[in-house]
Amino acid sequence: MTLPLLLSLRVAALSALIAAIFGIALAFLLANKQGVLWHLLDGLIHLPMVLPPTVLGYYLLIALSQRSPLGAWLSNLGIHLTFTWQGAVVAASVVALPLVTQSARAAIESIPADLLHVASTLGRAPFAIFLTITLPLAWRGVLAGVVMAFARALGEFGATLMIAGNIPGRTQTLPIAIYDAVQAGEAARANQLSLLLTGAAIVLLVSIRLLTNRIASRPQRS
Amino acid sequence: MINTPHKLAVTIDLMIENFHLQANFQAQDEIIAIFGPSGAGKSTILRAIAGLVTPQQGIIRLGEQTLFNAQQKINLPPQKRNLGYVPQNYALFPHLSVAENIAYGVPRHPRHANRQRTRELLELMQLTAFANRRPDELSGGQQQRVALARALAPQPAILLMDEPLAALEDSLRQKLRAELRAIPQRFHVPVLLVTHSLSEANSLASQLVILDQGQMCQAGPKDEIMQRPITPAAARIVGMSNILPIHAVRENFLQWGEYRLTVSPAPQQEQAHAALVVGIRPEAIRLLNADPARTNSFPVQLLDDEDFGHEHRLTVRIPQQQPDLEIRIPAPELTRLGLRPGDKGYIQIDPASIHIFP
Repeated sequence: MTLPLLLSLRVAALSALIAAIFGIALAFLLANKQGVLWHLLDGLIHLPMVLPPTVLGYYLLIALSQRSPLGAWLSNLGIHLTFTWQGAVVAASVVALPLVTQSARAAIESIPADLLHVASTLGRAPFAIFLTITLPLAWRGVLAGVVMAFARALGEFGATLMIAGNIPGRTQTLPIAIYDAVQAGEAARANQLSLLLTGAAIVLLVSIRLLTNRIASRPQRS
Repeated sequence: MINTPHKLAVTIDLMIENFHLQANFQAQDEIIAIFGPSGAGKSTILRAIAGLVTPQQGIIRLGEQTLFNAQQKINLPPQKRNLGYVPQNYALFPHLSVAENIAYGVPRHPRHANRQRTRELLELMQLTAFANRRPDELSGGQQQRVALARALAPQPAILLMDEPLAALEDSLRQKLRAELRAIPQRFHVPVLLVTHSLSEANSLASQLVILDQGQMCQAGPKDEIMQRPITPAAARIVGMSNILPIHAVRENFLQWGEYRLTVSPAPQQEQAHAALVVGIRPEAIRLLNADPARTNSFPVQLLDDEDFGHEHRLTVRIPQQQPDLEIRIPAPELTRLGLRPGDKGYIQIDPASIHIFP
């Protein structure tokens, strides 16, 4: 029971971190750049939200297998992403990324444009403004997105199973372990693991609510 | 006086959705006001000068520097325009202290110079006691001073202010008007401000740019625009609310319906065309109890009385004559006359105050 839990926590934490880094960078770029390509990229990031996880996992499997140029190149560097826990991180990151970008963007777009305009007339470069004005004012929304990403990554099943498989002790995360337990008729184990995930989900939900409520009730200047 | 006034030359043509904005003016003065009704596009001009919106056509120059030139594809980013911008709600950074807000636009290195400049401005704006407060702990007037200090900190070549007094209570406005008037001399920077209030434009600016529905009507020295607007539309915007159609031009008077209007100086020969229109400011018409038996005096009936406290706006009708005239009269004078709506009286119009539109 501890092995799947530790693996799940490690995968979810790393995925949330990766989604946070890419999500914040993308939020900055999408807020500052215009053009068709950026719109396309924006759409592409959100594809995992509507794509069936198995389909997404299948595409990742094809893209990262050693027969693909990308997979072969990574393999030469000693990075193996199929049927490894690192592969599970890739799957969970891709699935979690849109949650960070969406939440971060909503928070960033709620910042009055005048603040950013004034900052630019004061001579600060766009990236400096992002670091000194945008992020400090939007951090709650960004963090709420990262917590959601962590929750989503913790529960990732379909895409993870496709790319990382179900190798006990190596790639068997909590949700996969639950599936495994049910298949094997081990009801007690399935119950334990399910309760564990439910508890984690409740804790995460409460922290998201606390973060987003603070945004809504932030005192307004008259 | 400003030693090296930066001349601002603006020619812009801008389309936003269905709104078309055109303006063309030069300004080189201590305080210039862009004045016009709400939705005229005043703020957009300010934002175009600041580089926050990009016109389709035009040239914007500040002193020797070209900020924008559509044909030469010059479009300096706001960072490089060296101007201070104070939006209507001040846009103070809510997560930074007063001192941090002011220091934001000052180069951070060398550090002692940044601190020195911030301290200087805190003192000049009487904000030293509030240096560590957050903007939402300040009164409206204090917030405005922080916004001003922040905009002035990098020593801009011009200060742009959007409706600087609109967000404040009446009691504060008068005090802050005096503070605003003093900015060009205290900080050696010209001010271009936007206002929809005629009294603000009047009391603050020495030069006006009149804007209506995206089109610039007139630009120039305040007194000239107030007394001699070039079109009836500009006249209405600057409060010259009596616009009278003239029926004929005689040797030394104008025929206005059955009445004669004497103007001084006498109309030029080339003004003797059919569609002549004149304008009279409401405060230039005197109201009287008895017939003064002088030029341009007419019997009137008082129709309406709107009380503004310190002054009244009256609507009067000359028998069988249109349009009705608007008069502004100080409250004590109306009390002395004792006239009320329905009463009969006389008006007298100074021949020198009758403006013939070119």
